[in-house]
Parts: sequence; structure tokens; C-alpha cells
Amino acid sequence: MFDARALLAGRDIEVADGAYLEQADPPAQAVEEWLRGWVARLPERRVSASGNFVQQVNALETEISAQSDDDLRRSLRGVAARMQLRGFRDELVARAFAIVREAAQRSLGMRHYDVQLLAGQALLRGRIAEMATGEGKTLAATLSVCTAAVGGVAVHVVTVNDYLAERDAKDNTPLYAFFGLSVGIIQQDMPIEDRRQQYACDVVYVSNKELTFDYLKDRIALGGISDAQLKLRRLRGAYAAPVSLLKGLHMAIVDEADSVLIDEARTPLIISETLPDELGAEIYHQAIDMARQLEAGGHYLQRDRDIWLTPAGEAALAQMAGEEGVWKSALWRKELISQALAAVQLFHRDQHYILAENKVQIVDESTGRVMPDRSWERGLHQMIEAKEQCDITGQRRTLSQITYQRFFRRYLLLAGMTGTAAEVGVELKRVYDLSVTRIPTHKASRRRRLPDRLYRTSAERWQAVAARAREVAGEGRSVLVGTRSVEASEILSRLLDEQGVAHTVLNARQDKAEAEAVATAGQAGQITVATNMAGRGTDIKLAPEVEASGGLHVILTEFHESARIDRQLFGRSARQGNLGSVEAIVSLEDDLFQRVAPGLAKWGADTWRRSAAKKGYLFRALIAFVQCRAEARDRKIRLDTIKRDRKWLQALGFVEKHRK
Amino acid sequence: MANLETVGVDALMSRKTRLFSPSWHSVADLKPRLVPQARILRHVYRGQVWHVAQDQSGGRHYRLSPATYALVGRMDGEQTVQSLWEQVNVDGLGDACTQDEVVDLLVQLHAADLLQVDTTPDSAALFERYQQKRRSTWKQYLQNPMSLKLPLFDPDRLLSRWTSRVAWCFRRTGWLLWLAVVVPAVVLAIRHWGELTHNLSDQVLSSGNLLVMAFVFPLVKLMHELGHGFAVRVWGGAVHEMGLMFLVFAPVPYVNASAASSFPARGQRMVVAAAGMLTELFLAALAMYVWLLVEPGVTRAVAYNVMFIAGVSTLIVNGNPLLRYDGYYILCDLLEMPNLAQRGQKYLTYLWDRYVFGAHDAEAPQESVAEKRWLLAYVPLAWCYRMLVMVSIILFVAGQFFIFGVLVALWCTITLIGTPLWKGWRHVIQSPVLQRRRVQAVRLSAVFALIVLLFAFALPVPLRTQAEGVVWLPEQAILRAGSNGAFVSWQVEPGAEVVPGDTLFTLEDPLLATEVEVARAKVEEAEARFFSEQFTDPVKAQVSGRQLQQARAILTQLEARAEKLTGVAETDGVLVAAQSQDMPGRYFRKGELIGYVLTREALVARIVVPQDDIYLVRAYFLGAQLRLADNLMDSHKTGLARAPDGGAVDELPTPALGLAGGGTIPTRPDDPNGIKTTGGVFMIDLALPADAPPAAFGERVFVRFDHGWEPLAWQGLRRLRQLFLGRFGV
Repeated sequence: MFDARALLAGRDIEVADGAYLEQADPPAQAVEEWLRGWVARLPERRVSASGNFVQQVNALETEISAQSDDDLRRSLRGVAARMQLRGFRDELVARAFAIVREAAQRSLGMRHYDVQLLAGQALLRGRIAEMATGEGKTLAATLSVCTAAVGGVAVHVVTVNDYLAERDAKDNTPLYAFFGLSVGIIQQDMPIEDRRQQYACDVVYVSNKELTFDYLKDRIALGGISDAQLKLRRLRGAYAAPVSLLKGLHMAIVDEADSVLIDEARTPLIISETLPDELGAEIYHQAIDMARQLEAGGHYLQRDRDIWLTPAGEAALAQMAGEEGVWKSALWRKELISQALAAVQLFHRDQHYILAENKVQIVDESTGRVMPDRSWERGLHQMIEAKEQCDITGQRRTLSQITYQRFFRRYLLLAGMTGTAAEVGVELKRVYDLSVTRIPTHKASRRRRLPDRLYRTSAERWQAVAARAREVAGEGRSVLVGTRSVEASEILSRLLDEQGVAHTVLNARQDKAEAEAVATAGQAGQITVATNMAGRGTDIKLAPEVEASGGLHVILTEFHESARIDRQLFGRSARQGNLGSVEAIVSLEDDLFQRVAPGLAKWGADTWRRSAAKKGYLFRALIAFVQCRAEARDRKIRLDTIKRDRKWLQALGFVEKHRK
Repeated sequence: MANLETVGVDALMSRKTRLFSPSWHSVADLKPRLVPQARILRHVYRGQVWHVAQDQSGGRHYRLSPATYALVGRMDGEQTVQSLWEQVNVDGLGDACTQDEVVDLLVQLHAADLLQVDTTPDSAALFERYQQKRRSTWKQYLQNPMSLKLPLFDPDRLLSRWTSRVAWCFRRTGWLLWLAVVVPAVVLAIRHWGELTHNLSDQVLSSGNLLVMAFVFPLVKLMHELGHGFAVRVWGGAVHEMGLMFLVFAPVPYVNASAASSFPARGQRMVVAAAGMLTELFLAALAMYVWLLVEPGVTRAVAYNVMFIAGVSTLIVNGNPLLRYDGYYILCDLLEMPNLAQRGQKYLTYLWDRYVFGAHDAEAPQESVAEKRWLLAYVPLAWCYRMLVMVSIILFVAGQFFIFGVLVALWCTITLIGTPLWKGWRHVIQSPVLQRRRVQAVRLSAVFALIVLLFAFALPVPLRTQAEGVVWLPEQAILRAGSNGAFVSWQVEPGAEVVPGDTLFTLEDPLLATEVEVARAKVEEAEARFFSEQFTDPVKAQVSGRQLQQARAILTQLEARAEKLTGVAETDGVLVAAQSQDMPGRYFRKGELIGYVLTREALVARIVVPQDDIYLVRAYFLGAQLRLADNLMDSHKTGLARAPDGGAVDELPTPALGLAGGGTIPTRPDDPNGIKTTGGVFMIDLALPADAPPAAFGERVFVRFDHGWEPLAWQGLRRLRQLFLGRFGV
């Protein structure tokens, strides 16, 4: 049975009155949040691998290593029992960590580094541990997972995707098994019953989307039922009391915290059911036809990801549409055509979505992965299906929705790990009240960053990338080329094919072969072209001869709006003290320049004739500026969304809590 | 000052274009209905039917558009929102009704406490909303410290007990009685206008009277409020709140007469709004009769005050539609445009967004052409007037209490200027209407702000001060009696040319002559004594020596006075004296005018400059333009006749420059001559321009001093500083 006493001991947490053990939503205090943001800007006390805590753990090492396996299990349970009363005190945690470290040594053959102990400590304190890429976050997390889970806490290790959930769980299962902890893994197409079984495990590895969707499913099933009501119903037994999937929101360790808590938190998660479409496919096709006839500038205007009809456009539309069915209504007309315009002008195949099995599948821009079973709202999805001549699926009706900001704050203890938290530290503190602890590196990084190269046109850039990849691969090293979209990865792939260069492509379309592609990516002479799928969490194991000739070389072909994603891609090379090099080969036609600094890009294209050039610090500073601007804009959008969401929830005070 | 609160009567349903709402799932299965205490009433405004939802306990009213009404009317607690929406759309009232609109409607009904649903609401959200409401009340107080409201009791029982007895007042009998009393009183007031208005400010603002007024004012205002209260009650409305409102820190009673806005008859609403004023006018008329009948005394003073408060103040303050008091509500009903001010604000915002910022997708408020005209006219006018009133209130309060006054003044400046600017900025930055034109809107606003700032701080405009004066003589051309004495004779015949140093006339003072003789004798005596004792008795000599000195001093003084009996010319010119032949033998007091030594060139324009302007005139005198009262069309350049360095005086050279004499300088009301000024003034002598036509002595002149160029803001700041320094006496 689960027991979250260790999380509550000594902490002032208001527990919600629902069926779950979870934290009540804290009242929104704008001033407090703002102050928190400023506190996060203050310099932090740095933790050190030679600090007090690490010494405590190391001091216990000889004593612990003398114990038998059974003694280890028994003493960890003893420590956990004391934690239930006194919380995660440093002296107790030190002993627990020493035991887990010894157990890992025996079961996995891996011993936690001193810096990983610091990370584990930060997690139990409910902080974000920022560890450089390749420093072994997954292993570090096991320290806190074991410590908490042995005490009865339901621990959710939240990953960015199913692949990582499965990989991390399997890698560490021997350790958990050592302590008799069961490990659950949630995968996308798992039936409900299996999910329930998996969630009943002591430790659950699950991707953030699956977790949140399961939570929403529970909310729909349980409704606004309170804990007491639920127990009464179970006692009576007359009604079948609803059984939840999750066992409560005790502790979550969010891997790649900035990605989950910041980037993916931009849009709320919506669970919906499919209804038969009332409109009929014909309407969507008509709408798409009409939208294609409209002219940019005259009939509609576009800015960023927003598109709207002008009065002239509406007039033209009224003429085109005629007087049949829904087209009679100006309101419907406007709604349908707005969506059709967005479908035609704003959403592009192989960038925002791919076609698979004659179905439109959304591609997540930040992770580069397909998100099956997800769809766009308010008829947009159907419009895109009409545009691509696919079968029109039914309309989706929202059943429940939640934002990550609200969901993750409900955990009694929320902690996270990431390689890139610096830029979003303030926002994490503001929104989630999470502080960042910077963990020192175990070994000094040996990654070399080569000078950036900027080209005027995209085509020139691809030529240069192909040539460079071939050159480096020829040296007996392996090459990873990161692209921003499926489309881009395929352009490069074609180019390499034309040149007769062997390579592997890893993108949303080829995601079945992911594990295989990652496994071979470290072979000598191997060129892997990948979207952001090969970013976070991907651990490319290098062949010995590759390591000898200089390690993995990463080519970034387009800067992202956030420097964090760039750094994640670079982080694939030179892991754990290995050799490696990275470089950026980009063009002025890239999205980032066009959207954030179009004037500058145009000026560059006009004045700068000599095409290939290696650019030094000035260019680097420019990129930093542009990315900073983009990130600031995104941050503002996110904070505005939270504000609006909150206001809206308050306005909907007459609606039951679980329905919002 | 009835509080006819009609929050959000207009457009509960804003037209949005999103057909499907992302929040639909939250509400689709709810079975809503209006709370039992809510009533829906049918009003007709400008020929259009409005449905007004009234929350009887909260006393608030909300207008429902036809589409909204169709929806709200079907809410029976049985049907889900989804089915309601489908029904409304099938009925097809004009165009379809979007989900967004329905969700918005529910949210707004909830915010108005009019909505009841079949589920347990989110208690945390409700609690937070309650707290927010309390906070907002406080915020309101802080934002408007000039009109705090303090609800005291529920007058409903009191009113209903008396209603049957006063109901006749609101019927034909009442009207006839009112007319019979008020009309003759008005006629009488016109006939006694002079008496009533003579020296108004003295009568009203003298300290004794202020005391009487302090007693009378609350009573009159109480009657006013009861007037509103009974009017509401007579026609079946409920009045549940009465209390004190602190208007500029003066306690004034108020009632919450908002129930009147649910009266479907326009006439009734207007009478409720006007009832307070009608009561006051009636009281004023009664006071008029008392004032005429009784002898001066306390009763008469009270009557006068009742007349003043109930007659004048009520018409100026309460009757003024530009302020949000009774007159405003009467105007709203007269025009059949409830919420005139808010609608106007909205309309102007729309115009600005649409035509200045170019937000083509801004939704036009649904107003008819005539309504638009009214809104366009009303809002700017009311704003200017409110500005004026607020500024004078600020100055008044600030003048009365120093530190506190400055704080209040600052506060008001913030709310009056800062808050609208802040709101405007927020509108530009956040308003969803401008979403697609944000960049342009921000740029345009920045350009506007820059232009205004440039205009205020960088663009120099002429800096000038205006003043009045008279054609005057220089001091040395005026002959005055140097000492008291009888006129003896002219040494030079009047009409003759004189040069400086000429003896002109002599006066004689027999007493003075004798005194001089006596003093001389005393000096001689003292001299004699001193000389005799000087060598014989040095001790006594010391005493007599001192006596001698004393005697000599007295003699010198007297001789000097005697010398002044002779008039000497100090300037060239012609000796002029009125009635010169009658003068011999006449007694003149010291300083009395005897005559002039006139030259054409010697005439100056003596300009009286108030204290506020003297710094500029002295420090930045670049020239002056002078106009003579006889010939205002021509202006003449002129310069200083002498350096402008005299001290402040409190006397005008002639009463013609005082307020009472047709000038601009305020004079003290207790000075019969009308030349004592209330504040210090400075005399500046300007040379009369050569090209000007011959000016008569004593003729009025108008002068514009030129001080060069300076940006408006600096000019304003200087004035403000002076104002503060002058007002606060620091």
C-alpha cells in the first residue's frame, strides 16, 4: 500500500479533498509569483562535490559495503521508516543514498558518482537538478526514487517520450528489483486495465503526455467525488465505485524538466471523444477550395501564426459561397473559412504534420515526434484532412482539459532534472515554485565547438552540410545531423542519396526504427540525419574506434528559437568526458531569422554577396540576441496563457472543479 | 445624490466570431437557470425593447440583448446548455449564436450572481471571488478618496411606514401644490434679485454663516434623499441602503435608489431621479417666503441658507448632467439612453481603435446615428467639466489643509491623469481588439506621446504676461504738502514754467513757528548754562552739555519740518494747480495734493502687476506692448520708465484698477475707497510711447509684457509652483 507520510512530514502542504492524495491548487497570488521570479534571479549557493553531504555519504561507505544484500534491504527500510516520521533529513538521506549506491554497484555494476549524489539530494528537496548533458541523470534519479519508493511513496518518473520511459525503466530495473520494488512502464497504446496494473507499481516510468491524459481520464471517471464519498461507496459495494488509474500524485521526478514544464506546457492537454461529423466532408472540401481562391493581402492578412479575413475577403466570400446550407450564415462562413485559411497557409505537411496511413498525424515541433491520436481543435483537423484529400474523421468533443502548470503543481513533491535550465530558471520558480540547483560536472567537458557557418540560401547550406558530413565521416568518426523538420531531414537525405553517401534517417516517419538508429549511430563512418527526436535523452554509444578518432560530430543545420534545444542537440556528443565536436551550418533563410529578425536577415541577404563564410563572435552574439528575443516572446505568451487560464477558471466558478 | 447603479446594463452579450468555444465542455452539460430572486423586466428605449434582468437582493441590473433574452428565457433548470444552444440556433434569431457568446453569457450571469446551476460549484473559486470582490471595494475607495461611501442602515421599513401618507405628493395634488408654492417663489426671487445676490460671497462664506450652513446642509440633503427614497417606494421599488457619503470629506447622506432602473415607465424613473431636486426646490421656495416675512436674525439667516443650498447648489451640482448625479440620470432617461457615459466611453474607444489604430475587426457598438451623436457630444464635454471640478476641488482641499491637502492633491492628480494614462497604455498593450494591429498601435501611441512631449517640453512658445495700468505722473511731478499747514501764497504763479529748485509755494503753521521759537530759546538757554559751567563745575557741565545736545536736536527737527512748508519744484514743467486762487488760507494736511508740475514727457503708464507675475516682469523684461483704453486697436512698443525695483504695496493708484472699479485686481471688500488690494501688488512705470496719441491723465492702459520664448510645460510648471507656494504659504 502507498504511504506518502515521508513527503508530508514537516512540510506545510494543503492536501486537496478529492479522491486522490494530491496538493490543493494554491491560490494565485500575482505579487508572490512576481517576487519569486526576482528571488530566482539572485545568485544561488553552489553545491560542491566536496561538501558536507557527499562526505557523509562517503563516510558510510565502508560500513555499508560490509553488509549483506538482505541487510542492505533491511537497513534501507529502517531509514525509510524514520523518514516517514521526520521527512527527508540530510543525515537520513545520506544513509539511504549510501545504501542505494552500494546496491547499484551490486545489481547494475554502476556506482553513483559524487555529483550524482548531489543531484539525488536536490530531487528529494523538490528542486530542479541541472546536470550537464551526458552526466547520467537517469542513474542519479534512482537514488531518490529508491529512497522515496521504499518508504511507500508512489514515484512517477516522467520522461519526454515512451522510448525514454521504457529505456530508463529497463536500464534500472535490476536496482529496483534488488529492493523488491516493482517497476511500471506506461506505453502509448496500452489498454486501460494494463495501465491500472502498471500504475499500481511502486515506481512508474511514464511520458508526460500519457501521465496527464491518464489523470484526465481519472477526473472524468471520478468526477468531483471526494475521498470520503469514494470510501463510503466502496463500503456499501452496491454501486460499483469508480476505480482510478493513478494512485495519487505523490512524487514526480520530471526528466528534461524544461522541456516538459516549459516548452510542452504551452498548450493545455485536452482529452476528447470523436463524434460523427454533422457537417459532412463536402463542406470541408468547399471551404478549402474557397480558401485557396482568396488572395493574400487583399482578402486576408497574416502575421506570425495568426490569419484573418479582411472585410474585402468577407465580401468576396459571400459571393463565392452562395446560399446553401451552412454557407448562408455569415458566422459559419467566417469560422469555416478562417480554419480553412489556417489549414492552407499556416500548416505545412512534413513540418507541422505528416501523412501516415492516409491519416494526418501531428508532429510535435519541439520533440520532432508524431503525436498519434491528437488532433487540432474546432474543425481545423478536418480542414487539413480535406486539404490533403484524406478521409474526414469526426469532430472531436472536449471532455476535459488541464494545463501542465496546474497538473504538476498538484504533486506533493515535484522535482526535475535537465541539462538546460539556466534560461528558464526564473520562469520555473515563478510558475512552479521550483528552484534550480546546478550540479558540477564529474569530468571536465572535452567538447569542441567549431566556428559557425552562415550561408545566404538554404540550398547552399544543404550542400555544405552534406559535404561536411561526408568529410567528417571519412575520418572514421560518426556524424549526427540535426534538422528542424521532417521535410528538412528528407531534403538532406535526398541530397546524400544523390551523392551516394550511406546514411540513416530518423524522423517522425521513421520512428519505428528509432532504437536501432540510435544504436548504430555511434559506428565509424555512420551519418545519421535526425530531427529533434535525437535530441533530449538520446544516448549514442560510440564504437571504440570512433572514440579514438575524435568521437561524435554534431552538425546543427538550423538554430532553434530556444538556445536550450540547440544545446541539447550539441549535448549528444562528448558525453561523460568523451571527445567530440559540434558545429552549426545555417542559412539566412531559416525560420528563426525570418520570423524574429526579418529586417536583419533581408539586410544580410542584400548586402552580403560572398556566400560561404566562417563567422566569429559577432555572429554568435547576434544569434544569442535573436534567440533571447524569441525566448522572451515565448515566455510572455506562456505567462499570458497562464494568466488567462487562471482568470477563466475563476470566471467559471459555477462549474464543478473537475469539469474545468 | 441618488445612487442609481446600473452596472453593465448594456450588451451582456458581446459578439464574438468564434463559433466553437474551447470551454464548451465545461458548460455543455450544465442545467442553468436564473436565481429565484431575479426578475426580467421589459423596457423600451428609443423604440427598442430591452430586457433588463434585475437582482432584487443586490439591486443591480443587466441588459439582455434579444438573442441573450431568447436564451435566458429558456433557462429552466431542466435543459442543458447544449440543448439550449441548439434550440436558439434552430430558431435562428437573425444570425447564429456562437458558443463563445453562450459561455460568456453564463460567466457574466455568474459574475452578476444571477446564475444557478444544478451542480455543486467550485467552492474554492467562489471563495476567491468573494475575496476579490471585497478587495475591489477597497480598491474603489482608494481610487476615489473624494467620495467614500458608508452604508448605515436599511430605510425600507421607515419608508414603507410613511409611504401611504406621502403618496399623494407624487400624484396630481402634489404636483399642483408644488407648482403653487414654487412658481410664486421664483417670481419673488426675481423681484428681490438684487437683495439676494448683493455681496453673495460675503454673505455665504463669512464664518458665522458657515456655521449656520453646517447645520442646514445635512438637513436639506436628508430631505433630498428622502425625496428619492419615497419616490422609489411609492412606485413599488425597494430601498435597502442608506448611509453617509463623504464628498470632499463633507458627510452627505445618500440612498441607494437603484431599484428605480427597473421601472418600465420612463416618467417614473425620471421623477425618482428628480425627486431630490424637487424636494429641495420646494424647501427653497418655502424659505423664500420666510426670508421675506421675518426680520433679520437667526431665522432669516437659516432661511437664506436653505435658499442658497436648496436652490443654487442643487441646480448647479445635482442638476448638472455633466456630473454623475441626478441630472445625469434624468438626461439618460430623457434621451432614453441608459449608461450614457459608459457607452460613450466605449464608443470613443471603438472610434479610436478603428480609425486611428486601424483595427478593422473592432466590433462597432450597436448605436443608432442619433445615439452616436449624443455620445460624441456628451463624453468630451463631461470629461472637461469633471476635470475642471476636480481641479478646483483639489485646489480647495489643498488650500485648506497643508500636508494632507498636498497628499490629496497628489492622489487626485494620479487618479485624474495617471489612471487614465495607465488604462490607455494597458488598452494598447493588452486589448484583444488591437491584437492584430498591436505593433502599429504601440508605434502610433509612442509617436503621439512623443509629439505631446515635444510640444510641451521642447517647442518654445511666446511667454507673456498681461497687466493693466493707468496713465500716471511720475512721483516727482506731484506737489504735496510736506507738513501740516495753512497755505500762504504761491511764489510762482500757476501756469508758469518752472525749473528744478524753484520755490513754488509756502505754507504756514503758526504752532510750528512758535515751537521753533521756543526751541531756539531753549537752545540759547542751554548754551548759556553750558558755557558758564564748563569751566567751573565739570560734573554739572556734563549734564548741561547733554541738555544742550537735546535742545539742538529738537530744534533741527522742527526746522526741518518748517522747511517742508515750502514747496520746491523737482522737475521741469508747467506749474498746475486746481483752484489756485482759493488756496491761500486753506489748511493742508501732510501729504495732501496741492498741484502738479506737468510736462508732456513726464507722463508714465503705471502698471499694476500682481505678485505672481512680478518675477517674470523683473527678470525677463524684453519689451512691452501697450494699448490705450481710448484706442484699443493700436498697440505700441514701449520700455521701462524706471527700473522695476519697488517693493510690494497693498494700495492701487486708482480704484479703477480694482475689481470693483472694472479692473482685474481683487480689492478688499471692507475698503470703501476700493484701493486696498487683497494681496501685494507691484508698480511698474512704463514710458508712454512717443507714437501714441496724447493720453489723458488717469486713462486706463493694457500692457502685454514680453518675456521671450519658453516651452509650455516650463511655463505651466512655473505657474504650478507659484500656485503651490502661494496657496500653501511655504
